[in-house]
Amino acid sequence: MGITRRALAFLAATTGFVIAASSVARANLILPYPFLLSPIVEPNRAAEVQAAQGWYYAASIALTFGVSLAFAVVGASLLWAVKRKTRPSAPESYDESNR
Amino acid sequence: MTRLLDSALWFFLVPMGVSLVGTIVVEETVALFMGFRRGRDLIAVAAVNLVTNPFVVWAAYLSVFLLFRAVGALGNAALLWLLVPVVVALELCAVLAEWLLLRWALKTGSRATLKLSFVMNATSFAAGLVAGAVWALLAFPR
Repeated sequence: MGITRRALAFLAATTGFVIAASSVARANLILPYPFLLSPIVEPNRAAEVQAAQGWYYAASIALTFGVSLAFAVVGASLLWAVKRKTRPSAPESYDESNR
Repeated sequence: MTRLLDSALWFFLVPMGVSLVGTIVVEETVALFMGFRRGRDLIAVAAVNLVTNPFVVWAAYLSVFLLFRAVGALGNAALLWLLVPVVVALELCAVLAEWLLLRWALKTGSRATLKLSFVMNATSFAAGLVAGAVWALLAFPR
């Protein structure tokens, strides 16, 4: 079996396992959504508190975008350095060696 | 301001850091197994993850926020199922971006880098599912 098919099989098996475990545990384990939503989903809070939490969430997303941008700049400069030091190889050289 | 930084740190930046480190570890391991063993290959794999992973995590946070604003009244379970295609689309964008960046930086075969990008992302996505499930079980016991 090729490595791509093995990766697909692994992904399918893992997803199936997590969905099955999710129903056994009677909890939603596919995504840790209570964690993602916890800053904005607190139904018993007053409307103005919920609005403030929404604002925190929006501001945090903006801050996170800035951090992502900083990581991307570091990654891009590393890639540029790799590109400069790499000579072009035969178009499918890795394919040949992996057969 | 302190509360904002505290919320951003614990709800966004720490998970983002954990996701980035975990993804790099898993994807470097996959690259080694697939024959990408030169130092520059491994640096390139780490670098493409620095470019794509934080943006994917950020886009997922943004999607949660926008979906909650738009259809939050439907409830958390419906929101979750609406998130699934969004997350899959984000992963496909990551595969495409990593393939193009690896092909550009390593100047090597298109098919080999596409296969590498697909297998790396499928494996790290599956590992993320398991890690998320374990974390959800530990953090929200029933």
